[in-house]
Amino acid sequence: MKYYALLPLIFLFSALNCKNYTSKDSQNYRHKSEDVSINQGFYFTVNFEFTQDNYQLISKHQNDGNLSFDIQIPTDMFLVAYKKDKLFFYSELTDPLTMRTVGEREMEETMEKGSLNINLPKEFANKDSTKNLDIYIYKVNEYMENFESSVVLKEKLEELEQQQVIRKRYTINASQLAHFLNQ
Amino acid sequence: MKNLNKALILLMSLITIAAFSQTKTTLLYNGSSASKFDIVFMGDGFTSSNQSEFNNLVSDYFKAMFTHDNGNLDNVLSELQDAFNIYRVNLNSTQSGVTQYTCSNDDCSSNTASSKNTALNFKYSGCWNCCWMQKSSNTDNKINNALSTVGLSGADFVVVILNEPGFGGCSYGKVLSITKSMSNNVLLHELGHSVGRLADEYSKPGCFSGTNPSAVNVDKNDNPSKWNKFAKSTITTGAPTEYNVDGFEGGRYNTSCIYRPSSNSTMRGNTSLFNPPSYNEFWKRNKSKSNYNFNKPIIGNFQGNSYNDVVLHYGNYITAYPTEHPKGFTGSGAGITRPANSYVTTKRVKGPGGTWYVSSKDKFYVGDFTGDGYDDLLVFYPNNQYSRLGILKSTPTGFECIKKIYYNLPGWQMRNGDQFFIADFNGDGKDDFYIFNAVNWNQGYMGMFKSTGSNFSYVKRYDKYLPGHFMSSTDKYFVADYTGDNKEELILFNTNSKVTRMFKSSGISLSKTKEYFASLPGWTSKAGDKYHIADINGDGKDDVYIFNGTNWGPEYLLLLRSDGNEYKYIKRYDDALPGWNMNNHDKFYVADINGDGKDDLYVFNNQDWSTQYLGRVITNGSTVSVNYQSDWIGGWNLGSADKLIVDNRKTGRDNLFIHNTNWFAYMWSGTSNMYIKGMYKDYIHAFKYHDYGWY
Repeated sequence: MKYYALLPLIFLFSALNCKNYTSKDSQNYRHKSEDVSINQGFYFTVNFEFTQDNYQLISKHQNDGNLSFDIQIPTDMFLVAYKKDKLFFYSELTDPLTMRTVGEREMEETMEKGSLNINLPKEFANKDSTKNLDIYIYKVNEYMENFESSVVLKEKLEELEQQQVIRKRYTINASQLAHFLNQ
Repeated sequence: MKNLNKALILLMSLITIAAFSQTKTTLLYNGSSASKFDIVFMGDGFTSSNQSEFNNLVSDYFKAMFTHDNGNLDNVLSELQDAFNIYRVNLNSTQSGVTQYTCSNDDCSSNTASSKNTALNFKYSGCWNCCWMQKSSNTDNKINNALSTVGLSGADFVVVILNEPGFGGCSYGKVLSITKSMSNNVLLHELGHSVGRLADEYSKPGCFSGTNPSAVNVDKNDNPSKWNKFAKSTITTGAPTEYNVDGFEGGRYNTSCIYRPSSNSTMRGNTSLFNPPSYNEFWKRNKSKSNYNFNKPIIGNFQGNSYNDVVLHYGNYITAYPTEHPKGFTGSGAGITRPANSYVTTKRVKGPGGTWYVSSKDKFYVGDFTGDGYDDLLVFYPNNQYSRLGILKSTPTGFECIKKIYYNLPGWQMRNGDQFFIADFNGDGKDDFYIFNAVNWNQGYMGMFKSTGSNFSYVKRYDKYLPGHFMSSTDKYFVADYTGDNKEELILFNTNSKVTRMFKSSGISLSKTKEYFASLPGWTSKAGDKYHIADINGDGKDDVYIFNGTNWGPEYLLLLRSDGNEYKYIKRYDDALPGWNMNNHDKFYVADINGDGKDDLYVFNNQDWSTQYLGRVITNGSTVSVNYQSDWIGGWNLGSADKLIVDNRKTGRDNLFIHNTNWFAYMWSGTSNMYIKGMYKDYIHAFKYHDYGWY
């Protein structure tokens, strides 16, 4: 560049921990949730239709991207999948059978039928891996302080179920789902 | 005839396709649907000629979600906006308006009063007990088809606006349907449900009899762990009332046997503010979708008060926080000076100079380039021959791009290795800059560019040599007014030759006033010497502290004063300062800690000892003395990842900002030690109270 004395003129033309009272271990503490990313490249959105006791798979759509999940204390419903009894996938849901009036006095009512789109990882389409896959949808009955540590293992979640703070509402047939996703 | 029929069928098909075709407009995009919270706006009952009305409705909602309509108090969606993608999907209905049906008492069976052919087949009754409206049997399918067609089937939340002037809305699953008469605050309330997973704090007569709800903003106990950290034992007072946290009876549709955290809030009376536990929940649930962190704070006096403000740069966003008594606060918490609530969060800075799109690669420099007494931002986007430079002028509500410079400054081709040194080298009250590059060319260059208030103009360029100095990549430059004439000049230290040179500014050029070859008064120069420009004796001429903690057995700190032309020896400390045992990784920060006009040093060591130490090196102009704190400062646990930035003020004591990725605090200098004024975990926001001091 700047070898030439005239260049400035040419350029002129052209330009114009911390940190709480509890312990030092909290330094690396972000928040209680677990943020897990499944490296997969695509994921499915499945439209489910629900009644109080059952569900139907209505439609599916494939999306690009890496689906991640973030475990927070659920407020309504959640879908959880365990592979060999260890947490494989989690998704917080809104109860599809609850209808809420908006404006003035709000009110919740239960519907007989409702639908919901749920994003699911591509591994759910793998027929071999679904042999060891248990997929459930739970309804939340009560506030759970340490949910994040309970949900990681199936047996711990079953303890919550026994304590009736959650209720298993649907058991998703993993092989039927895999078949549906492969259609 | 057959051909005519075929043509008619084809024509009708095309009309039908056109009538129900959908187009997607991206209003806010921050990343893939898989990693963000997608919100989609759709309309029902809007014909092709109604689409501009629909667009305006969405635009109003969008503004309400992402602008700071509440002054500086809060707009949590705006602050978290890089966690969201927002789309508008235009659906053309054949007829304008939606199907109407009648209802009576609890009978919500559909007695159609007037039928309309619309894109999603919503029906409106206007009856509260019938959720105001209802879907048809094929509405879900139509919504899903529309989403799928535009590639948004994985959307997290769908808002359907009905072309219906009556009142009401209905929520089911991920879908919210509202009429076009619903206010912005109703939408914010509904986003409280969907994005924040919050409960209604409304009540009607009755005793709550269910199990303890999971939402953080209602509880069967009046002081639950869900919000007791925000509740002072004696309830806080004053505005905003939403931030006075206690156990208020009534919520989740019952007046008794259940409690909410504030007397009123967005989730109760559709007020403009979420209460603290609700605000916190938005962050907790969505921060993993955001790039927000405290790794790159930028400190400057952008708002023009006595304290430096904070800009955070994360991903392709900046967000700015004023350091002040929080605006809108009265009573409790109103008198605490601290980084308060964000006044702007944006990835685009617009202005007469164009739009600056914030990039994660941007490098920001602080200076008052307009001479209005407020610090502005100089932003450099390094991209080889396509590099850009922008001047972002600070305004009361954010920043304004007043100049964008592409690729070349006059007489200077920008490159990645350009180093900017902000300095008022002509003493006109507007900050200028020196620019140095010795890595992208086969020789070194130093440029001087002065601010015109709205642009930078070429003053001088030095090629290969500064006066008496061959420039090289091992040069280190420091801005200093060592002559005391208010024109900021340059001090050079070359880590290879160990030469130190002093270059005086005339405003239009530099001249060498002194050079030192590998030694300074009382000092043998080494590559590891760290220069800290400071007015040690308060005479208006910048002096220098030099620390070396790596090249010798002992560590050394040298104090030199400037007589206007050269450095004179003040004092050298070997191995220890009075009250401080120096160590290899001591880091020094220039600050007038006691406000006496003589620049002192903060010293921080978070690596060499079993715990971390923060010291205050106070000078009387000829010697220093140190006091220190270790491990904890108030609620802040000093750590190995902590970094410091000085709150360099025009008058008074210079305070400190301390930060790591997820924590941020503002420390004030007291008469004998440091204390915390504001401390933040995960996000900056001023509440009235937090038990751990996180507010």
